[in-house]
Amino acid sequence: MRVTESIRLADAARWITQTQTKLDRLSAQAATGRAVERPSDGPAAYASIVRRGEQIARLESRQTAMEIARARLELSEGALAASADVMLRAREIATQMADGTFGASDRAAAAIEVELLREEIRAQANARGADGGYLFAGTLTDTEPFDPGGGYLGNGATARVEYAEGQYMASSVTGVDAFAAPGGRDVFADLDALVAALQADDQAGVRASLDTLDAGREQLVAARGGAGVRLGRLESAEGVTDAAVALQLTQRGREQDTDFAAVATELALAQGAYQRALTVTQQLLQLTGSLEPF
Amino acid sequence: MFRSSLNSALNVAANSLQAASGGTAVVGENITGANDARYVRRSVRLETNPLGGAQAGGVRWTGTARAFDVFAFANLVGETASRAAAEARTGALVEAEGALAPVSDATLAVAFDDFFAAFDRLGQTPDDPTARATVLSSVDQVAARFVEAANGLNSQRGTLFVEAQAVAREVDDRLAQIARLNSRIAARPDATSGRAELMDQRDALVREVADRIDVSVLSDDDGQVTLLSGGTALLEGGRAARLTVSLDPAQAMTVAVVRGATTVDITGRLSGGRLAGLQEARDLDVASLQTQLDQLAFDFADAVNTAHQGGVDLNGVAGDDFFTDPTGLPFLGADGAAAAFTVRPGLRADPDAIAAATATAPPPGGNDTALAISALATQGLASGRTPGEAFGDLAGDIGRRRVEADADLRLREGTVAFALAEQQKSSGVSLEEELVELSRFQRAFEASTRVLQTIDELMDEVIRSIG
Repeated sequence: MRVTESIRLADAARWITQTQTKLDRLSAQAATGRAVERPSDGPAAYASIVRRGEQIARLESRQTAMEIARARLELSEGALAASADVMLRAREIATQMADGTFGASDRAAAAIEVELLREEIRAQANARGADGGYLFAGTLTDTEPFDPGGGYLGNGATARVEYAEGQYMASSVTGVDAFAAPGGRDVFADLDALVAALQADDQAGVRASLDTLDAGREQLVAARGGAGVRLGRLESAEGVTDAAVALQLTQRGREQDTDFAAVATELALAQGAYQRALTVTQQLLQLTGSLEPF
Repeated sequence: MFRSSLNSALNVAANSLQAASGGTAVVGENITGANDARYVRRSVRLETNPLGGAQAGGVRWTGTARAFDVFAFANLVGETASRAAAEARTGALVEAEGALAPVSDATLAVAFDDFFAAFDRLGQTPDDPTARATVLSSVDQVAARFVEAANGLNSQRGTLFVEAQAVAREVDDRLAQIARLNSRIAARPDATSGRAELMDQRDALVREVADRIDVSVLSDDDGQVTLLSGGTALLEGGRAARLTVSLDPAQAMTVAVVRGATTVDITGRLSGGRLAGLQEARDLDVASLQTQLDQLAFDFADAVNTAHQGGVDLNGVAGDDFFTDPTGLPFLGADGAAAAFTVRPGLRADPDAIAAATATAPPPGGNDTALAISALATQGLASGRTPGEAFGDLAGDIGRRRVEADADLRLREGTVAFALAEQQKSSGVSLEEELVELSRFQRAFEASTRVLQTIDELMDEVIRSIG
């Protein structure tokens, strides 16, 4: 086979270009830590990385939403627990005042205390969340849900939160179910009835309020329990979501990140190949130069 | 008879001297052209003088032969055209990939993620102005990414068209030069260095044409070439046609050969050269990516708009379109949707108009519509794919096209190198061979000189003996 100068030089240029291209690719991988940065680095891997990125973003976003919902439910649970405690105090007063040993002046004084307790419960029922919205107003979160008379101004709807793929739960407790008649007992009306009985020195009326106060308290406890159940489910879902995020991040890392050991080895080989290509080219040029006298 | 023999020997020596001198000149030419791949090796054409009669044998120089292998050259021309097409396509796809999936966070995939995260956040704090501002910001990002990608692809198609027109002008320029060289070659006597040099120039130009458009080369008896592309003559002897690159009503690129009043469309028959690569990249690759991007933009806008229209905003008003064209009208079809992707005018000025609630779970705390929009991230669009999946498929498609084009380019670089090596085997210059040839002609020259000296001495002796 005839080997001409043009073939020699063209081959040398091709060797250098090829090794240089490989060297560039490997250097970029080693420097960025990414084996797949653009679609052409691995079309299927890139598409998979995008899909995983979408899933990770979705899971992380869901985590944030669950954290917000959890904070709201925790505040709601606290308000309901405080309300139930207040109801317990009201019942204790009613139990005391149902006793015949107390007189009208005692009951009048007790009525004042119960009125204060009622206002305390109303304050809890009108509690606001971290975002300033009323916790128990349903979705009318800018409306104070309970007016001074105990009338409910919110609605029966609830905000929801996604806690698993396509699975939603209420992220709020509606005040109408916890404090008002649709939930079973109208807590404020029952306290108002107790106040009225105390003010009227109506011992039988005070005694009759014990059952309604118990029912009201149980209603608040049940609402608190409902919030607690949802909190538990959220905590559990957050754990599952954390694990899913970690798994997806690991999988994406495997697809996207550079295998440093492999790249370092390949890089060393490519550097050697590049050096050899340069040396061979130099020798070829020297060979050509040695024929110059001709 | 003896006198006559000395004269003959003198002629033989003179012819030999001329042949050796010519050979040395040819070797010199070859050495000068050794590093030029366009140069075709020359050799001395020698003929033997018959013995007998007045002839005393020996050789004489009859001209210069050009070691041209028509088949190797045709193969090289074909491979050059294929490599150029692959190179042009690869270059275009690199840019398309950069427009669609840049190596940064400024991708549609990240914009989608931020968009859905913003709606998730809005879902939990639907009356929070910051959450609404975040939604608007994320919406702007989605719109910006669609428009940037679409503009990038549109601009690239424009650039590819302009580049194709420039390539056509370059072809025209070279065809004109080849036509002139064809005429000069036909006028030059055969077997001369001048003619060989013209042929070298002409063949180099033929390769330059092949780099731009695939050509078949037909050689005439008088040394001229005819160039055909797509079965149509680009050049016949001294007459060159003209190439035109234009756009058809569907904005597809057309390449035509114009000869006088006749125009022949060869677009569908382009098979090589940069024009073929540019045409394929522009009207097949980039056009397909544009269609997919437009469809994704349309599907995304349609799904978000539909969900948003089912909602109620903070003012208790039913939700309007979220994304529209720049005039505020909803998209009627996918065509051009990505470039026209706009957040409905007025929405940015009134963040309360983002409908997060529904009539059954009204504002400000209702979040069902916000959740419905964020659920699109997993439920999918009309295509059945989520926006991220659709973008991943689109990016995968450009990636596959690039990988395929890169592989084709590597293959073509190999085949061109092989074709060049084959052509060089017959037509290239080997300095080692030339060294041997130079030595041979030098010795022949020295020997001829010696013969001349000897004959001169003999003739001198004869003259002196005659007295």
